[in-house]
Amino acid sequence: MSGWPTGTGPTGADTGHLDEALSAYLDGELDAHSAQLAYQHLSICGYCRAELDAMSVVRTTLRNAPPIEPPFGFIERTIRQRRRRPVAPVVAAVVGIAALWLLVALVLGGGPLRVVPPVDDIADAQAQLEPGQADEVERFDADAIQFQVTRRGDIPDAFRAPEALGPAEYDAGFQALNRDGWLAVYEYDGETVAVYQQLGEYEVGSLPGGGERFEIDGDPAWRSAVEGRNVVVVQRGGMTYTIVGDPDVEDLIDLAEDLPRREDPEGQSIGDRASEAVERFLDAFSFGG
Amino acid sequence: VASVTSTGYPGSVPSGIPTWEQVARHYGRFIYTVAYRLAGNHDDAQDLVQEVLVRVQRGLATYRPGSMEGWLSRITTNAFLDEVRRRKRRPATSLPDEIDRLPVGTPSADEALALESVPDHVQDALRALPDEYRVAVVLCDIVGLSYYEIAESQEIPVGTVRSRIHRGRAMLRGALQ
Repeated sequence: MSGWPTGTGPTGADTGHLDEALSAYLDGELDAHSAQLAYQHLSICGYCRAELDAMSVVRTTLRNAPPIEPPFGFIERTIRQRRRRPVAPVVAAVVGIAALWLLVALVLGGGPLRVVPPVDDIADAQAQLEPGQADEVERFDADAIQFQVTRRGDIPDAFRAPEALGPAEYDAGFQALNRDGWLAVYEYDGETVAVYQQLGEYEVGSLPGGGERFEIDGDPAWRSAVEGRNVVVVQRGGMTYTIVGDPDVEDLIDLAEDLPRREDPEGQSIGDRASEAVERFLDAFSFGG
Repeated sequence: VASVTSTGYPGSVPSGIPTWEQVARHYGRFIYTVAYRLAGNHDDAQDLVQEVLVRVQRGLATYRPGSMEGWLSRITTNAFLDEVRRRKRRPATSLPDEIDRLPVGTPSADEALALESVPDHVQDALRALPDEYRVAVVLCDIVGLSYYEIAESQEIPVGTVRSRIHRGRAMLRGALQ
């Protein structure tokens, strides 16, 4: 029979009946010509009419099945528990250790803490988040740094993208924390930028090639490059920020200008500063209760 | 079919890109219905919904305003089929120890008994279908997607969708008539 809608049975052989085309006919999924042929066939074939009726009963029964109610409170419980768990346990443990380590180092150590930005690790992390592939990044362990995926709308305030990236215009990002700092990688306008924050002052000369010194808004800054990417370090309010990214170095400097200036009131003790830093870490990762 | 997509939660359906919590609240019943029809029981449906919400949370940034039900159906069926494949690979193990899987409070024994004891001949019939046929039938008759939408979400030809729906319904005839 030429012009048949499909006319093949389960084996693929022509059965002379509508077979699979019956369901498509019922669902309005045949084109007009095929539907007309099916209609004509049904008018002369009692077997296919009976099949159509039987399929119609099945279809109607399924479509009239009521929605299923989740167990009482299930959705709300799921929301509450996901809200309470912004980081993976392994990251949580690292955060706790980092906070304690910082406290001990600052209270007992006396002089200013010097930090060396792990630029290779930061560059590796930045390279992990390819533009447009944020969904495929889950979590990974690049040596000492544990990473945790974060999505827009689920980033703690402390890790919001800097204003230079535009208000909430970044598509995705993830954050991480190792022994002595936190890292956020943001995707914005087809580029990815990594920002790493450490509590302490930059160990001058520790960037690849030593780094070229300059100033950003009166704060000491250094620029360098690693693996073909630009690196900008700025020391601001007792914190060292390291920015690694593909964009022009001027773009990174613009971004650095918008990094938060940590309040550092005169007379605040090192212990106070350390406690505050610990609190901020704990709050940011929802360990503060 | 339309009744499945109504959410049963107060407030308006969010326009634009909602937060994952809004999705969970407004589409929770929809996701649960699809998950239950696919998974076959409430325990597995709850695990599946949790996995779906994890994926929603991760993937919401890529959602573009359109058919939220279609998007959620795709996530749910993919999560279901992933789990089916995992169980086939490791049949003797329990659910994977995913870091994102949360120990959400499970219903009490009475609650679980009550849930499972509701007569549901549709569910009994669906449970007997091969997974691929069940996915096609659920997406067509429970969710209300077109053949093209099902083909797109499952990345299979429309002809395969048509075949699976027809054969799936044919297998259900005895149980549902």
